[in-house]
Amino acid sequence: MQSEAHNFKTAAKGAIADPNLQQALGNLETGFVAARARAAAGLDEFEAMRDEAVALKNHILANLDYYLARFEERVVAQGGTVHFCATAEEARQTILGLCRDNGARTVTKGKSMVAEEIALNPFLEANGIEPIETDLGEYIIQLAEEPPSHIIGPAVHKTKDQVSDLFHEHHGKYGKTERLTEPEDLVNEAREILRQKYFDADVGITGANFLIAETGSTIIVTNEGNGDLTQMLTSAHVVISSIDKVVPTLEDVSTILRVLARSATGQEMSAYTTLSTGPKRAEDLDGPGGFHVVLLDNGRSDLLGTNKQEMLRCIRCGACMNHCPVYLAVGGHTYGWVYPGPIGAALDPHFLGIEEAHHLPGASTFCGRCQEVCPMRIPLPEIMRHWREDAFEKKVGATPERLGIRAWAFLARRPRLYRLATRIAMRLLGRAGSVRGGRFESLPLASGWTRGRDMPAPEGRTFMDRWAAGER
Amino acid sequence: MLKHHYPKLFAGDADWELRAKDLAARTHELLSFLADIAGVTDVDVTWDGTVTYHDSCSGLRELKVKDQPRRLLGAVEGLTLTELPTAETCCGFGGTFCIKYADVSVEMVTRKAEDIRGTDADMLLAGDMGCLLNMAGRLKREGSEIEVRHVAEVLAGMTDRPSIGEAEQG
Repeated sequence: MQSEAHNFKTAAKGAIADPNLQQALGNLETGFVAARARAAAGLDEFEAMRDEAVALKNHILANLDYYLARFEERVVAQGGTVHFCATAEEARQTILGLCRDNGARTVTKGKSMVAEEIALNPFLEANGIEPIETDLGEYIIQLAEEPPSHIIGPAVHKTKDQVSDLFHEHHGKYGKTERLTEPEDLVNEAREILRQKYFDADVGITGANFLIAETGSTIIVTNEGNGDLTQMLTSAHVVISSIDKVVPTLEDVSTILRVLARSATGQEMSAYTTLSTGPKRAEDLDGPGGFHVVLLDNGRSDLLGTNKQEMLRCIRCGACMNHCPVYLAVGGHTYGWVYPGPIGAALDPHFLGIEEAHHLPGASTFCGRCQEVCPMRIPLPEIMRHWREDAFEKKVGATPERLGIRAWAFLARRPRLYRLATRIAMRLLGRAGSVRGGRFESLPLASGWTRGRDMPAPEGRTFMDRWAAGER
Repeated sequence: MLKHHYPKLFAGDADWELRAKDLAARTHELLSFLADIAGVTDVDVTWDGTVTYHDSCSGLRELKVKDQPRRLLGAVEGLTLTELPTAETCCGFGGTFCIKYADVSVEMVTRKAEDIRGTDADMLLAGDMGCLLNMAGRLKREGSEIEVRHVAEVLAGMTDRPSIGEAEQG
């Protein structure tokens, strides 16, 4: 998708003023946050499992080449193919080639963030192939012609009423003319319409949460089972994933699976954990005709060995965004690209460049809640801070802010001057404030503050002054 | 900052790394110092009323200050603590964030103020001046009568002084 990350501030303003979005975000906060807390508290070894998962991922990242080679070997041994793609363009062309090889006119798709990353749907459409999203959330936003706003709940920004309207508008052509309002009825209608699409599709494309080096399997976790139908009924199953998803063994993946669902939705396990291993064999009753794994790098390997390497531990659970007060105020679309919330703030600048995406790591209070709930203990605020340093060095962002930081740094390195400056500022503001009831309703250079808040005036003398005067 | 960030900032510098670590080891957040190091259990102060408490992010998550202010406040006679349901949610201050992303910051503190008013407390306490400035600023803008103070003011029996955002009477 075309990045709108540079537009963060304007988008944030609109998002805060959007009552539907605010209602939807309210539901997200109360739902997922409480569920994760229950799940974490309900398992004594949860914290120990997080540690184990972190250690495992660190080991994988230190031996990534080995495990990727092993994975490919196992896929090939079972009649499948692995396509390593360095760039998004390479991945798109590879997938288009596979679709054409299978004479595809329509493809069904399971949810995949990597497919969003390479903007697969518009590319397929431009090449005469119709992609049909089968995850309910993805299906909803495909009808609405919107990108996902959350990595595990793509349509969390929509209210039930908005979904009713969308289905009513788009399902008429299938003879469904009644506007449904009950969630169960809406789900059933979507299921009925999608069912035929599975039979019609020529190729099924899914993502992968994990790639198992030991067996050459790819794994997806879903709550709808749509991924199974997507891959079983077609002439080819194309898995689009990225190189950071490889895990050595099935035993290892079980550790990560146990923290994944608990962190994401508060479930112990997702309803479906689907393993795909190679194409249909002669003795199999069903299965896809071909099995292709398209593995995207897209700059991920450049993160190895840098101060942002820990981002590669991410298992895309979405806990960071569910717990982020900024995400919960502005929603996912405000971030302007594929990955929103804290993970997006730490990752998107790598894909888009800090010039385009500098607002994302900027728009954080560093409250640290994301790191606290991240099952992989990724130090998200620290990585965002590294991006801010990059932005400062490259002179990206507003000039007054950079000058302000420079001025502050100048003072901070000269303690006497710093004390003098704070003493003067305090006296002036204190005196001005005392005649205004102890606070300012507007202040020069601080309209951002006073637009929605008063500024309490300082009172008395500075701590250093009082300390020097012997008050202790 | 001093406790966790200085040692990282100066890591690898032969001279300054040691000095940063030494400083970090000797630096304590006020409330954790009082409760954990000085072992204060009796504060000999009376304050009649209901307070609520906001856990500041860096205090809570970096310095692990959670229980200490509650223990200290528990020793104040007459004081009732009504817990803020979203006590651990950031108030939206965030340093330069509050000016750079003012719309988002104001939205966050507006939600916070709503939760604070919902507790029906007479006073809001916290242990971080950034958060206090932000929450007091919003509550005053909304015309709220809730007093906003640092925990230390209550513990030191200084509640006769003007609260944050209020001027000396007379």
